[in-house]
Amino acid sequence: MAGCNPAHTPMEKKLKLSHDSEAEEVDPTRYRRLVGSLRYLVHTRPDLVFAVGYVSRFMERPTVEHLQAIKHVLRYVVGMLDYDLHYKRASGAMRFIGYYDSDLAGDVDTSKSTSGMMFFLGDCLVYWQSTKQKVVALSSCEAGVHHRRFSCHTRVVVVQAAQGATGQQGGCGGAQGGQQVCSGQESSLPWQEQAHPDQVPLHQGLPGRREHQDRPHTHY
Amino acid sequence: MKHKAWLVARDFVQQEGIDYDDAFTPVARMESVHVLLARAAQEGWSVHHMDVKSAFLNGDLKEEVYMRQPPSFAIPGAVYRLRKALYGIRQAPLAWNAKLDATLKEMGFQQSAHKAAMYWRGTGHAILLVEVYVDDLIIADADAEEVEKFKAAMKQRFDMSDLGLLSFYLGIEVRQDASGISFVKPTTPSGF
Repeated sequence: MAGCNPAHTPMEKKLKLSHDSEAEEVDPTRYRRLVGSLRYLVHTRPDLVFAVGYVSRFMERPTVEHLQAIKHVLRYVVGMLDYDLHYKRASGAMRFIGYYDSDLAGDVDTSKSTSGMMFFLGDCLVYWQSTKQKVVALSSCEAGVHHRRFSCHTRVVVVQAAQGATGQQGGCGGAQGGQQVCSGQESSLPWQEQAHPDQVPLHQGLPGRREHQDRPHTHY
Repeated sequence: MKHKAWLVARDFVQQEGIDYDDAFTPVARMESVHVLLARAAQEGWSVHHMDVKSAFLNGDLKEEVYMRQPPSFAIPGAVYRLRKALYGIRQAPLAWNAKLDATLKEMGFQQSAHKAAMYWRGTGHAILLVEVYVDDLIIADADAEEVEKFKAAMKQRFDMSDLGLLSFYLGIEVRQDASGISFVKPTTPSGF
């Protein structure tokens, strides 16, 4: 694909692909190999995580439609070759913030939702994930609950890692550091916490920093 | 030309409960490496990388394990009783990790309660962080002298290679400079 036109996005907007595509089938081995290579890129390219997760759902019986989606990702990668994930030197408290969202039954075959989340420590993106949920939610509220449970669990895991890196023994206080901010349609739902304008520092501040703030309040 | 040979045990004849009990070992998860690098980048620390040579040979075996002698090197009528781990032994990773864990703790490190692969020593800006991925050690500290002291102490205990500043980790290229730390894209995949 040398010399192709770069794409601005990793995926077409609102693209819906199905397992039951009637387009011509393509070589599954080649398709899977491409997905495998892209998976590797996801370790350093958070912007690809949804698109790559999406195309990897069709590895069983890929068709031309699916391959086109992969080629779209590749064209995006070609245009973004000079971009890196960068952790920049900064002063001030390292705040731990998570963002998450769900596409509310975005999968056309199973009606399952896909959750996406990203966690920042200060300005550094330390964790990103996009996962199709395991259950079919019967309402948008239920979808939100599943999604939330999942992202809370992930948050605990990442906060624990952060506590390790800051030399803290947090006991069971893993979930107390940081907060989550949601985006998209979900924030209008009544059970959803609203995005906070002020952000909270990681679990009682970090050792070696002078400022010491109260343990942040958690909402659930 | 260099000829190399390696004595490797046949782990498939080992029986659970007799020759080994547990065989698992903690490794650093990707996000805890990211967190460590994030902290180092923000504080302007440099991150170093060390590697233990033939790491699994350092592990001490607590189980009683016997091994048939390699053909053509056999002393008739005898078997080997293994005191230290060999490559190929089921519990080799665990034995090595236990050894490294004990060594780091003896050197004054504390292990993270949540991330078994993360260790630290000291507090505040004098903190020395070590992340373990089997035989790879990622070391972060503000004080270059402390890092050198730690490296020297490790070299006394194990046969180590000092890889200097972290530049390549698990297939990901890392670049450190005055502005921070970047994860550099892998070389463009070929064959598309």
